[in-house]
Amino acid sequence: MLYEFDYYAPKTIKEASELLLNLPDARIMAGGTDLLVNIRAGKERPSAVIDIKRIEGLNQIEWKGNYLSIGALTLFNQLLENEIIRNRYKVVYECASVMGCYEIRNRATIGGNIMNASPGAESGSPLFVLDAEVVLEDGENKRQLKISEFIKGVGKTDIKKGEILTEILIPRYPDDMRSTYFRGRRVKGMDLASLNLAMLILNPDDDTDREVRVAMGAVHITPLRIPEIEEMLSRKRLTVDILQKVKKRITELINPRATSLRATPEYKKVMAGNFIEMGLEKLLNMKF
Amino acid sequence: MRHNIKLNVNGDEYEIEVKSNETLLSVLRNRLHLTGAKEGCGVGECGACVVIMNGRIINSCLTLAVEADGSEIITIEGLTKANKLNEIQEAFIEYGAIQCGFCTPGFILAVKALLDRNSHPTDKDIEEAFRGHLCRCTGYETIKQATKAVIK
Repeated sequence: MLYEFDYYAPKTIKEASELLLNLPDARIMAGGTDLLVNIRAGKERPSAVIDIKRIEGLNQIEWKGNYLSIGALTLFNQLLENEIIRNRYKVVYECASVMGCYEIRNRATIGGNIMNASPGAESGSPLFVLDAEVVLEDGENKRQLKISEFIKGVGKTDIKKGEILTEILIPRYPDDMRSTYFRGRRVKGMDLASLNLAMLILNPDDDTDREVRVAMGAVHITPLRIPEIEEMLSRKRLTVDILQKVKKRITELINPRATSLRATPEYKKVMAGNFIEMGLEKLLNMKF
Repeated sequence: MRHNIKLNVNGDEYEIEVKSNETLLSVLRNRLHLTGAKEGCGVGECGACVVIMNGRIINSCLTLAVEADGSEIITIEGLTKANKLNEIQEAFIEYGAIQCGFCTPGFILAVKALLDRNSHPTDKDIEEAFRGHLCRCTGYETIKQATKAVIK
């Protein structure tokens, strides 16, 4: 049985914010697929859970000017069910399709995944590679910042007391943008990612203008963009020679901790290079 | 903290008082005596506790009862109408897809939820629907065969 805690279901962001400010050790609950597991394991002992699912308007997916706005309470299955995500943001579609299992995806939210701030979070490297931004509100104030500035460390974000994450904003990209997601796993069944890699390519067919972006999860305390690798792969014709240099360099650039839970640092360093090769082959239709 | 909640389970209305920390699974089993849903792991990894809530199949062990206030829930008991087994249940029996039976309510609901959203699932779709379900007895093959037998 779970230990005793109180439960509140505010109807507005302001109500939720006031509860957060007034209740000691209260935790926001969205899907509950991390929080309740942690409570059961004794890792978290909030005095109260504040269920934000009754607040309206936090699970839409819609264009807002130059951004795609995804409500923080959007379920992972709702991401999969959305045509824009499926067609224009394949890296998000692919990460959602391997997250958890179907039942978990009917409860787990993208906002919860971000707030849990696991280095290997399924949505972590995709949102980093997309240069996504997050919106935080407390009912009076609103602020927006890059996700790379919001995620600070393992389980740590820049959220201030009284704030809740309400929205994720992903820039609109040209029609020819291509993206994909890979993850290492120990079993074919449900598993957390041993490591993951998100790749995004702009101007894929133009050797001089092509931009390749790479972000990885579970190789650092937060998801990680790798600018040096991106530079090595961008704005040039890609050859086997360049790929070999990239695969070697990435083993020097990432430094997964020795106590990695699901894969050794050595494995992660080699797989990082392999995922880059697989990403390029897939997105650029090449064979190295 | 206590809450008065309303649940519609398999078409029946219930009004009960629950504590904040009672899971939906616990309420279904201990308060409503619907023991088809099982606690296999308590952390949403085995699928033995699944129910269909407001049209979506979920792990009831990771849902607080109070979160389900006002919801429509279908449990395995809701699949049997007038003491007649559902065709998925019949197929499971025919193909030997049940040994100890502990995972069975979860798998049958997963098949129902799968066919409700995709009437012609591929082998891959079936595997994906089963990803959150563990069976220690059958080796999954007979469960897959029973599932394929139900597809029209």
